[in-house]
Amino acid sequence: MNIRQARTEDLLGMQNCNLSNLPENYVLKFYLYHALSWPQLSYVATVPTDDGGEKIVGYVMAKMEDDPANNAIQPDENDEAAKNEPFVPHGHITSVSVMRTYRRMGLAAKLMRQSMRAMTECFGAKYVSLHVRESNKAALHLYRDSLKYEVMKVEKKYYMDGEDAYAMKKVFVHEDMAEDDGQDLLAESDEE
Amino acid sequence: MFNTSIPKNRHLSSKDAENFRELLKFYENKEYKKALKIANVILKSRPTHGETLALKGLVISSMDKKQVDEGYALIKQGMVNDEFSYVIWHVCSIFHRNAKNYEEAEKSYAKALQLDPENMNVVRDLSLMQMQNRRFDGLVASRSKLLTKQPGFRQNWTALAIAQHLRGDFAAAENTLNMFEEALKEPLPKEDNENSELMLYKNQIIYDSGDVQRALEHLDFIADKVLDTLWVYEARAKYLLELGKLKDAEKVYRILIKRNPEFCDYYYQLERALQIEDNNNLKAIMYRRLSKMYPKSDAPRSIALKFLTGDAFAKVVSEYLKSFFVRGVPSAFVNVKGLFKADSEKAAIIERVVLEYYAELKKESDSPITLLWVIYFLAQFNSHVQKFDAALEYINKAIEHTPTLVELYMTKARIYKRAGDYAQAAAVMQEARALDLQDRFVNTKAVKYLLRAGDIDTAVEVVSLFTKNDNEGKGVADLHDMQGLWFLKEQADAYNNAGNKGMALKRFHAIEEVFKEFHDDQFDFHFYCTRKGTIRAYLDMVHWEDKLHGLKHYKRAARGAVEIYLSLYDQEKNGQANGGVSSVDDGLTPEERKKLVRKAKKEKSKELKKEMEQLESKEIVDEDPFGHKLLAAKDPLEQALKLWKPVQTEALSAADAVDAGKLACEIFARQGKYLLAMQAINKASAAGLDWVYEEVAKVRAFSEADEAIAPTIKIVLTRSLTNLIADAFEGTVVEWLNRHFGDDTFDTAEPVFNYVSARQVCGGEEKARDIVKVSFKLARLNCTANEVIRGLRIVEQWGCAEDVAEYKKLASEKWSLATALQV
Repeated sequence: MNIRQARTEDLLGMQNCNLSNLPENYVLKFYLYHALSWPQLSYVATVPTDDGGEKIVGYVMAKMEDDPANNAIQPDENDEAAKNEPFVPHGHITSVSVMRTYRRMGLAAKLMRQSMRAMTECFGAKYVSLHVRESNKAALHLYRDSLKYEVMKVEKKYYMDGEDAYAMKKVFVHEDMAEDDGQDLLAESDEE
Repeated sequence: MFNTSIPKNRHLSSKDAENFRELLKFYENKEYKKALKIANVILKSRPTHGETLALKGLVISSMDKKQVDEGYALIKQGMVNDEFSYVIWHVCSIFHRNAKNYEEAEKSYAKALQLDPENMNVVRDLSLMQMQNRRFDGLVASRSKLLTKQPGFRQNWTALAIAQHLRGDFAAAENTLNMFEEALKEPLPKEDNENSELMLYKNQIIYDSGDVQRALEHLDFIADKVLDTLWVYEARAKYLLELGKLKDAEKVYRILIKRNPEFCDYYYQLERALQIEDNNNLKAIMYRRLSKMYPKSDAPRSIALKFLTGDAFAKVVSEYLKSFFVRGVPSAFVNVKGLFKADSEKAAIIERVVLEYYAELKKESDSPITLLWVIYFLAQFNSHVQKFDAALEYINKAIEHTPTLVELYMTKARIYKRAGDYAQAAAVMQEARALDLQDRFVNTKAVKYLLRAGDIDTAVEVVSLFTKNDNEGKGVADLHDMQGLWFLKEQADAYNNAGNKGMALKRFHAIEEVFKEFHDDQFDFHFYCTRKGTIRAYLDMVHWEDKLHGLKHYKRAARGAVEIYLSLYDQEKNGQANGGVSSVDDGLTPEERKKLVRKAKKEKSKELKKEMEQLESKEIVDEDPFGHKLLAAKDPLEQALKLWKPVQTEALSAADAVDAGKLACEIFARQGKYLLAMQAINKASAAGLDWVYEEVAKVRAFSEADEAIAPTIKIVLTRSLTNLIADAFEGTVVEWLNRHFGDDTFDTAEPVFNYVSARQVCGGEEKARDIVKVSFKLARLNCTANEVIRGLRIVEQWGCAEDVAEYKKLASEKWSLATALQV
């Protein structure tokens, strides 16, 4: 099992994972657009294959929202205060998926944590947003309970098939990524 | 030189000139109808005006794909009327560019530029074509020109550096970026991501030039000015390791592990920094410590399992698996499966510890869910070691325990599949799907299983539950649009298995089309990325595109199509007169042959009827809806070569390129290009590949049957064959082949198929007997259900009824569930 930043060679595997798992699908150019605009934000989970290669079993694809007009979460019509707030750079999770047979290993959360850190480090993102199907209880649980996202609003008929979406958001707090405790990794004593 | 003065026939009246400007504007705004109207107005007064004719051609070709040829004819006519107009050449470039014909577009842009050397728009467009066509010398020239004209744009500096870098001129590329930095009056702010990218790109150039020490120094210098923290850590760790600064490298790899404890590569590099790659005792200590430091991480545990042995392995693997069982992780088995292949002792240990745990759990009855996952694991384990009855017993027990868990049914289906009962496998996977209709993953699995079982209609119905569907409610077109490679491949195979080669070819070519799209996709990014500044990612993409056709997805499709083309060629050569049934050396009695012909005709008419019904029921837009035109290709070998060549030239590795020579060899031998075939064989022989003997026999057989072979070629061929294999000409080709494939060769399925394939090409009375005899080995070999059934098909083709019955009897001892083998 591996989790690492996505490279171009992973995009076909991500596309395959997406097409096998989710109803919202994209042509490769859309993946290329993400990889070539925000190369630091997409991550993959891979397992080794019999022929010595890697197979992609999960991915997160994310972007930065740099145009206020395309704000992922639009303020309510009548919320004047929110409308006048200055634009702050923020990330958006475009798509995330893990093959069913590789669930319950916490892969989705691990993938998303890596992507979210890159949003703040590389692009100065202050928060991250996403959409989730109202009926997708497992995903909702992951975002709200494990990753501490908040539901901002319900977007009516967000999906092609008419289902509503929750628009969710997580504000970033500073994370200290210093070194580990520096212990001697090869010392036999003191282990237990 | 060209005569670039304006010829008389180009000049327009002021009214027409005004109209011409309008025409340009309408074209640029994609208002084609208006553009066409105004073009016709000009042409009314000036019917031979070249530039207007050309532009009209471009307009109508943009309006409708069907008018492309007509449009191109107008452009050509315009050129005849006004040979030296840069406008016409520019129009012509855009026409080719729209058609994604980048080679022709490049030529036209170059011509336009000759006629109008200072036109920077043309230089820019030409540079894009040069990039697409990987013409790096020309690219450097064009981009230098752009930079000289417009040094105020950062992207012009970047673009030139990329061109120089790709040409392998690292010093020039670095120098270009240095000059850009000097040209900046003051350093850009840290928040400027493009600037950050550019500095990191420069660091990459320095590293690529081979000067690691300087790359490290430069990295230290820019570290606090750039934003990509992860890349800085990764690069620094790599440089330190390469420079032998191991203590420092250790420190950085530990930071990287802390940031992402799930990337195995960091751990492997840490082993190198600590110089313990070959010391399993120290590695064991390190991974124990790291597992404690990162209790939620899989990587340090799973890596340790690879090198630990014996009791130490048993202890760790037991804890590892138990934690999965307790948490109900469905991938427990696949997470350890990889360990079996390298070491069969580990398989035995794993089975033992899981069985012990199973016994323990059965005694205490307070953790039924954990027990369920243990039984689930044992089912998968037994399926893996081909103990299918035991596997089914376990999985049924699990289903009895929890009849609503999708995973259990998916595994049960897989057991049937591996055991060779494809229909039952598909039926069980359909049960799994019914348990969770919202989940596309199990839908996908069901479609795959249905296709493997040959039920194409149901598969299409099921897959269409998650696609955007056509008027008939089918999602096949959507899966083409969405580049669903898995579906195209699986459906192609299903058609192929059902003997519908036309549809199989069609799907394989659809995959080829998807790869054309992938290749075209890069085009827009040549411009986009220089502006956006994401050069490192862009270069990664460029290198990926260069090896596109070496990817397994393409290779599989190309192989599928090539094999069909080869069979079409062989069929045509051997037995046109017999309604598609081979007449040469098939070992059949006249009555048997007649029966086969009748059967083939009957199947053909059935197929035809079905197709006609389909034709009536929908509007036809596809010009070859059933692949008949593909089947009727006049030059199947050329088609095959066209598909296969890129697999060789874009191979991901040298070894891949050599291995791709086998199929090339098959094509060349049939084309009578024996020396090219020998080249491929020689390379494979040097690499020690097994297929050499098969291809040597084929080249000999084809060349000996070739009456038109030139005497000189024959001499050279004989010499190079003897050089390669000293006894290549001792006895007939059949004797030679049988000598080289002795009984001890057939320890896996592959040499059996290699022999059969070669033996089919060589003549001789004993052909059918030889093929049947060797195919019988498959009934007893350690192989997959697929392979043993493939063996049955060969025996059915070449043997008599008794042979078939005997093969089934032998094979079904081990493969009792395989439906095809049941008597």
